[in-house]
Amino acid sequence: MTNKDPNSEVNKEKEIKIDDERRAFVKAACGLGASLFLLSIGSLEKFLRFFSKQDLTKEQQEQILSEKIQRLKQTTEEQELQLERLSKDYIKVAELDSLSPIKGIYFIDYLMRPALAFSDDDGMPIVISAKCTHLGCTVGQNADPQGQILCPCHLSKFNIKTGIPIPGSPAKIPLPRLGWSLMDDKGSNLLTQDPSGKQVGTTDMDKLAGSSLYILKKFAEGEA
Amino acid sequence: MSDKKKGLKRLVEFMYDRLPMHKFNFEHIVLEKEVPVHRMSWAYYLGGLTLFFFMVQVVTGIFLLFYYQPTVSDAHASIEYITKYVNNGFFIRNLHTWSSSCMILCLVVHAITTFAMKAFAPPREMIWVGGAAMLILTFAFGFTGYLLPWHQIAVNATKVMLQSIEESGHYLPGFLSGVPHYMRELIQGGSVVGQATLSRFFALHVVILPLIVFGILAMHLLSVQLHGMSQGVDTLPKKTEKFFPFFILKDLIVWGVAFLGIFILAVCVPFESFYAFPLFQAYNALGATPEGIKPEWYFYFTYYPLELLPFWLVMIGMIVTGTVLLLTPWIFKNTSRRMLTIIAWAITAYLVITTLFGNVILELVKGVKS
Repeated sequence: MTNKDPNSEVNKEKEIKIDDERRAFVKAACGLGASLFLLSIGSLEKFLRFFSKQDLTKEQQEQILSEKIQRLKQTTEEQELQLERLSKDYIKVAELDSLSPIKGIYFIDYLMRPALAFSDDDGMPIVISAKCTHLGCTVGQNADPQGQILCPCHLSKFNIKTGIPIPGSPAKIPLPRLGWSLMDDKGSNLLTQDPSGKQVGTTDMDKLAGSSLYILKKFAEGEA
Repeated sequence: MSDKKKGLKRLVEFMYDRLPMHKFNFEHIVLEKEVPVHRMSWAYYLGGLTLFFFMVQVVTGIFLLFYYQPTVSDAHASIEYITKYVNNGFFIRNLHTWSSSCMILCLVVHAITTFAMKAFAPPREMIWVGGAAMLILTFAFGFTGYLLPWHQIAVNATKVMLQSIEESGHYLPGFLSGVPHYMRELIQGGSVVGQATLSRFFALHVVILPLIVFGILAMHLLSVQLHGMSQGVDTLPKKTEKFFPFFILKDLIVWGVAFLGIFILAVCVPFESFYAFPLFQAYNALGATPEGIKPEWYFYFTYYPLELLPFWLVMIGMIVTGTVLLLTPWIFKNTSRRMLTIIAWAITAYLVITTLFGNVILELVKGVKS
């Protein structure tokens, strides 16, 4: 029977533990190194090719250019609208005859916000802001049989005649009414309605036939 | 000693305790640094993982800058060009969007676990405050980055967010009521969300916010290195492991696995596949807002409450949350880890429920599909 030195046993255990730790570290480092190598091959190929020249077919180049031109045209149109609103005292929205009680016509008001034009039961225009008074989304242009339009963001419904939101809607404030004017093709003012609904001019539909709907800068200045 | 001198001395001592620069040496940071081993040790990887996703964001963001054009006429087209025609462009863009979501997820879990482990206790208050500031800035990154593709959901969601800021003015007294309107104009840059807004968001997203985050991050990492890992549990851990080389090696393995995960996601799952296509058409200022406008998923915790509860209530909730977040080290100074863990679980439950089931709750309460 041999006597074991307890100190040497402890030291031996410690050495074994350190050896195990070293081995585990080397193994993990090798594993990590190998996986990083494989990952970098896969990802570097993707990263480097990102900067290489794109081989586009003739059709692709044509499509890219036509889409770009279309988008530039749209931006130009928006800027022209802005310029028009800065320089003109009144802006044409639509022909009176083209207005519908069901489907509104979108246009941009003097403050570059969306607005809608409908026709009332008597054929007179209804012109209201299309910017939802809840959180600013653009309301839909199609009125339901009850004469209500919907904001798709948080489902507020508004009466198009009054602009008032129906009870239960997240919006609590009515859509503002915009002032408008009906003019004939010579530019003569036939009928004007301010944002409060006060009208000046003829309401005879026969005389108003063929006229066009305009919004007026003087009414917008009050809103700003 | 005068009161002024006493105050100055106290401030210097406070800063000396929070930033013990005498520990900034190789021995302390590399040779002596140890990580406690206990049941919550996994949480020590979260900060590093967030940093990793942030680095992926920076690299892929720089890559995208080579093709992205920040104008209302070209932004959407340039994103489409990257996705369709640039070699591996879809991959880089997906990597950017997936890693942004992963970064926010890791950051939130990191904040919650740090809270539960009371890792904000003195002298680590400034580490917490820096981290909380970066959490808020990360949400700002998400908010500004969301607009850049200039598609329907991006522009309309931004309009809703900006209008929400303005709405808060109705609940503020006196001259304060005008502040949200001024803030909105400052952020928007024009009468409507347009080129000025896009330019501002672009500058914020790629220059200003990164610079601020780099500064705070440097201080955050330096403080963590100087103070070492927090104990994290009530009883002194029986076991520790060396930061170098063992913990850092495990950290790198976690990073490697995370990269593999987002690599696979970026190749296989376009981030946009979770939304209806019309939302990703180019923004049209002359049309109706399409259905389904929502912010990114990481804003659902405020979005759904906004849909369900009065605006003023959510606003108060947000102000209180923000204040408590920044003042946590002082508010919860004497709170036990057990109580902090219970609060952390409650926060987690709230975040999970509003994020995953917010739309179901909205449907049940309001009877509408969100």
